Amino acid sequence: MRLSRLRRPRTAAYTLAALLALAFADSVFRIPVQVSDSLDVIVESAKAPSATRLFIEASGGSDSTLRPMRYIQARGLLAVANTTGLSYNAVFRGAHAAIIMLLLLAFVACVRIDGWLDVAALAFCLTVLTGLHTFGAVTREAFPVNHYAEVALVSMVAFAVARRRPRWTSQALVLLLLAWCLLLIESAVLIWVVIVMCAALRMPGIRWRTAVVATLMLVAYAGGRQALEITSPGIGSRGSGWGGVYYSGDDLRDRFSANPLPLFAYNTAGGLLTVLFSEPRFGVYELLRPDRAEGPSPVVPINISASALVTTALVVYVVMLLRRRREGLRPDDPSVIVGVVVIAVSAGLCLTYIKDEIVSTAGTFYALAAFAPIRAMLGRATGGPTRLALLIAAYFLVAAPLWAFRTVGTHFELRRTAYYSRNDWAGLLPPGRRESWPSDPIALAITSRLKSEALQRRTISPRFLPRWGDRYWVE
Amino acid sequence: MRTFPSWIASAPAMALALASLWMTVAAALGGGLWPADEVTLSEAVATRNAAEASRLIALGADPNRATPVRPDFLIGRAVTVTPLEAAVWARDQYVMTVLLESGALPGPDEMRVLRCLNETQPDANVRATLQALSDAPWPVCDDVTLPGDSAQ
Repeated sequence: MRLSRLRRPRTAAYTLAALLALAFADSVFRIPVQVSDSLDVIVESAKAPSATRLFIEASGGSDSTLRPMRYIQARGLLAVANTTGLSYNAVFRGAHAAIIMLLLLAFVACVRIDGWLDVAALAFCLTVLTGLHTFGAVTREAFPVNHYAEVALVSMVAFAVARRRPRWTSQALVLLLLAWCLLLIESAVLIWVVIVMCAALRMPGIRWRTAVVATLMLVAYAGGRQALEITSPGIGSRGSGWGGVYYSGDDLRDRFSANPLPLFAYNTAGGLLTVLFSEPRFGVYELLRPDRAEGPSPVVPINISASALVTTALVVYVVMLLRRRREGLRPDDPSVIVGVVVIAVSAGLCLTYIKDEIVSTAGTFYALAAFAPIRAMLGRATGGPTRLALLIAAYFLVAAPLWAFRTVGTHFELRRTAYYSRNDWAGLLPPGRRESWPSDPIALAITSRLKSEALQRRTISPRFLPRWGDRYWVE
Repeated sequence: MRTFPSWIASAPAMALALASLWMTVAAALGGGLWPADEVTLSEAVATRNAAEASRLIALGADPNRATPVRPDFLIGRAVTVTPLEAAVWARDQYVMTVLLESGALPGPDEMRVLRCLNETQPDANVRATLQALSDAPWPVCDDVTLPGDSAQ
């Protein structure tokens, strides 16, 4: 690439995102394949005699989830590892790292970059995306590839496709990815929300017939679940917070099964607030925790302040958008409208429990929705009254470093995750207790290989990380 | 028209992008932000790094041999301890179990030291593991010299 092209705003925007993505891909790649949520899936995928059989068995394997593609995907990645001779870790973790890189690049494709003010606004919003706790949810865990990251990526791709001129190939790709993701994780319903919203807003790249086909696919999916007698996870299927306390699934069932409405209302509100204000986390409001002896750690006010600044800008923009609704939409308005709807629907998905993963796509769209107000503020500051320019400068002098700080915190958490994930392998296949090893040869071979690869993947111990990091970055 | 310094909004992200480039390139060369630490077997145990302990044992480190541990890992000064002593000191039953299943075998003298160390660094899970390891009665610790005794 010629150096002069870097001077073009759009090229600079993609370069910026690529550089940020590179470090995140590295941090994600350092995490070994996890024992929890990953090992069993990989082993089961390898043991099935065929992909068809695996699909059928995985489709009927649970009475509350329909996620056969989790296994098909794992089988595919195993085949890649076996064909190429690459390590399992390289393939599975490489896939996750690639998704994270694509997510950041897709984010750039979702915004309008015409000038340097757009690049400045994008730079800020990229730190909102990567600093928000929901980004940790798409980077830390894997099952064995993070499905929530896949949903967030496909949602972004759908929006990016909608912004461009219509092409049947792009729309077919979006529909194909929707079908894939619906059979991967239930949160994929958010992709459908994005498609329908884009069509409703008459964005050029998504036609109504695409939205209709997407809706028919969703209906077929819901019908399939019903036919297989798959219900939605109910109260008690997982633990979640209430006020300042985290309750186990059994505790929640005891407290709320007779009258679930307060829990539903609490979780829906929490699902909104966690994206907009970084609190609660898993339903627990840190400031309300009764076991807090030392007072709130700095991470809580840092996170709340950073989020409150962006949410305030977003709310002001939405109010102004409503006031000028008769004038028609401006180019950046759809990202705000779709973002707000995705955040609202995502909150509804938190009905029975809240976790960062469920709201991760909403977190991505929160950062995207922030672009329009941030860009508008930069525009108003240029050429506006001096007092307003000073106010906006003060806003960014506080908000921009806060979000950059949170972004570094995401790397900090990823290092800790790498350590804990690697440590989990140490207790498996104990050399002095062979009777505890799996008797199945495939399970033993895969576990042994994954353990060996994980141990070779050296990570930093939290003892060597800055001690203040726990207080400023870990909640 | 006045120009607003938009770099105020983007400067932290730009700095992060440059830092990211450094992190990635330096990581490929073994450095970068928060690279993997170099430790002895006892240090790996003292920092509760069971995976690193397993790796070092697999590479030939003796799980029964005392090795140095840097200041502030266990106490304020450097000490030389066996991996099991480091595990008891760190009150970590998990890494202790990993060591025992990887060839660590305390003799009667070492067992006395481990149990007395558990008295000064109490942990119920570690104590249960130490009790299960030997039928010998729990020792009286007055005359047992512990590693790093002078500093405690």
